[in-house]
Amino acid sequence: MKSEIAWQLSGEAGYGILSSGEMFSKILKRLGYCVFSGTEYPSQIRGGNNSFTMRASKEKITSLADKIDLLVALDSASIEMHKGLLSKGSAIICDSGIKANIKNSSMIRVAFNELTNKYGAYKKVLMATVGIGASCKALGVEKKIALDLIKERFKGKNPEVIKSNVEAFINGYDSIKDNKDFRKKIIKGKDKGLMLINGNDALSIASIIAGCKLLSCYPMTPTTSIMEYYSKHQESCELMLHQAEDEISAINVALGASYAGVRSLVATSGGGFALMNEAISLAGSAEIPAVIVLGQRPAPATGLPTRTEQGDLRYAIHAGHGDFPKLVLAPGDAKDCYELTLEAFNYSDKYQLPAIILTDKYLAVSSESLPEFKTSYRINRGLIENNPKALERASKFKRYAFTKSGISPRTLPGTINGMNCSIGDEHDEQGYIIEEAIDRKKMMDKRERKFESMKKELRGKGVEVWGDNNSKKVIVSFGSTKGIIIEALKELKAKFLQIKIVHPFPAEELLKKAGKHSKLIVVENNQSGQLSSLIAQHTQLKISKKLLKYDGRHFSISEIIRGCRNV
Amino acid sequence: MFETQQNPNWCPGCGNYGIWNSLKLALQELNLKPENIAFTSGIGCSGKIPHWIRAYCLNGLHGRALPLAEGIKIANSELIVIACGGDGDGYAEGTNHFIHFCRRNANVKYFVHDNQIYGLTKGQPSPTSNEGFITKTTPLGTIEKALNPVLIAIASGATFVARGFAGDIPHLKELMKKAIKHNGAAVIDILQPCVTFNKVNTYEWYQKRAHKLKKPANTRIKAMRIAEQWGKKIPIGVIFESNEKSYEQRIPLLKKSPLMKLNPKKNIKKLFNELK
Repeated sequence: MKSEIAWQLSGEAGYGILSSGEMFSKILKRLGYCVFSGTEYPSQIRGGNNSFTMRASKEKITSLADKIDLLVALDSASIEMHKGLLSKGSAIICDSGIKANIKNSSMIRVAFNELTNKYGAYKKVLMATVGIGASCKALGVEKKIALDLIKERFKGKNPEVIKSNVEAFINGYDSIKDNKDFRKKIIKGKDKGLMLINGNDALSIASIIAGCKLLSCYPMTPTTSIMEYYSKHQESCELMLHQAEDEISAINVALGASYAGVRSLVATSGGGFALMNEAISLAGSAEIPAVIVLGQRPAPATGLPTRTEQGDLRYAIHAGHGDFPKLVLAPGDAKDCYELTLEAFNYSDKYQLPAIILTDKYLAVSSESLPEFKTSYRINRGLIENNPKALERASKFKRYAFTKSGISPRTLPGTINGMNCSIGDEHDEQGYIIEEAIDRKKMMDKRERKFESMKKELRGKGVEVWGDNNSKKVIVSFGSTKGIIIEALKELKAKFLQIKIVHPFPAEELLKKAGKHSKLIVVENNQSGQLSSLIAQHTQLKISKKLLKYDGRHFSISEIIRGCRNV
Repeated sequence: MFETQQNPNWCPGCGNYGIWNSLKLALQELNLKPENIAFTSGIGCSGKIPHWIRAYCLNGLHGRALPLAEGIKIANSELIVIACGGDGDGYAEGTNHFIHFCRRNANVKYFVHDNQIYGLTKGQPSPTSNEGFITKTTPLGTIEKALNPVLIAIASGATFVARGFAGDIPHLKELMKKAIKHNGAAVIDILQPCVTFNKVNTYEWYQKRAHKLKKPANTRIKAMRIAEQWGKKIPIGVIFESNEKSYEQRIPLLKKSPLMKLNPKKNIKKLFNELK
């Protein structure tokens, strides 16, 4: 596609690859392009290879490209590492001192080192700015739009920072003369006013709209940027960020706050989620609303801390010991993150149960250009009794009153005559510990009724249909593979069923939407085919193929196309 | 005022009754309203105390009473928040939270029923069992040193640290009142005879050694020296007290109003624009 460009900035950690990459994405977005970007980095603070990859197109895109057209290599290792991805007619912008010759790619030499020697400690980050300048020139982007953005980005910082960045940008820009070998050019268009938003930002904003006031966390990749979002906006949005001593404390603090009436959020990854499991079970028993973000990354144990995988699907569904109702949502892109987070808070409050939002590293940090989201939203806090007249002066309020729906009104501390006992031991309606078999069964059944009530409400909302609705070839997947599969549908004639609610599993809906006699291909970023096993468990559908990937990287578009073509 | 329909099911003569009575008296004498008190507790005989006091109660997991309490206090700083723990609950399972609670100086009261043994699991050694203590699972005596919770609390930054004795209700009640009135993390380690499983540290054993302090030490170092005393004399009373800003007072946002009452006008459009 002529109107499309795939660009990458690569170098050691410490070059400010991410922030420079984001700036370049913004430049192209403001020139009327749709942008999708992602970042790869190892789990270390200095050294290793960091890369920021961006795809810009005049059409709507929902994933990265499989190839790179323009590579800005801040060191020779970057060329070695990424040369396999370079497209025909591509170019590499690199330092004049780097001796490399890549077939099919032209070399654009820029004196990165020489131009930045004078900046001392800031040399590295300004090398990235030189690279942005050179990229703009190579792609025919006017200086002004980029310079405006640099000034905007460093607004309020030391004037020296702006000055040196402007200078580095101009030097990079001017150091490229007409380049005949690299023909890709940017066609300037009108800024569509899109946002560049990733999964973590989208769910942070949604949580704020949902009235969440407390984020209780222990930092863990890939959800740490949710903490950063909260800290950045804690004054303007009146948010509280609590960094706990460990994940066990983090979730218990959130449960305490939620019990006292404040909507609270917890965000972690697999290892931290493991520590939270007992408390998730407590939320189930004590019926305390809780929203937990589980940003998956490759496991077992520490796994690959900064890479991506979807290996915690079953773990999320089965989180916490014992049988108790919970909700697990699986957003597929930033917009889903936004919408499902809004829903998660309402369902969690309404049914007084833990709601888990299952994302992954790819979804958490990949940015997509999207129009502003709808902000109409009604907060539903569920049944909270605060009318003193309705509350008798009993010694304890019946916190776990038996109801048809299974939902019992709760009272918040501070409410007169609302005193109760909320508890992890099995209990009676007042929260007193019980031991009798009949009482135990009654309370288990009450909680289960909440699950059944919730299932009814969720009917028809669990599976979204994409692509060719009449096709017998049906791709089924969940989570962050969504955008990549949608791209692959441009080449494949297939229907795509995206499962957005993974627990309660939307079995009936899936059966209906898949249709009879269809050939099912299940696509998942894990080794054992966890979604496939859920489909087999809940439906009679026959799976023709499982397309699995578990090398710590997301699927490429061509991997999906190849994997689904001949089924 | 604080009575419930149900009565405790602790063993007759248990030290918990003394703690229970002291606590109800303290709440009454401070003229507190049941609806404004939120208890949290963990697991063990201590975890049940809030069931039998008419107030709000969140009885959570083993060792996690403190983070629940901190969460409640963050959400609604107008509440009196009291975490109830035991020596197994708080000094084994929940030690990490205990230390961080102290350094955080959260305005939560932490009353620990310390009977130097595991009662509910029927008699294993606890972290505060004295070295050489013989139990069913340590027939030759424990080989680990006893943990000193008072010393840990002082060293970790708690701003009110006391030791009480379940056998002296008027004294314990006064300690509890002071702790509740204190602004910041208040810890009371309460010596509590377990009449069923601990045949060594009995009422008489504690009575003989309990030595009432006249006033708290004015520095942490001096307080630590007092905290180290554990032998013929065991000091009880307020061992350390200092006036420092609590965790909640250090959060600018909470100066305006309790978190749960805040209702900010949020400029969502601005959040979207930042991403453009």
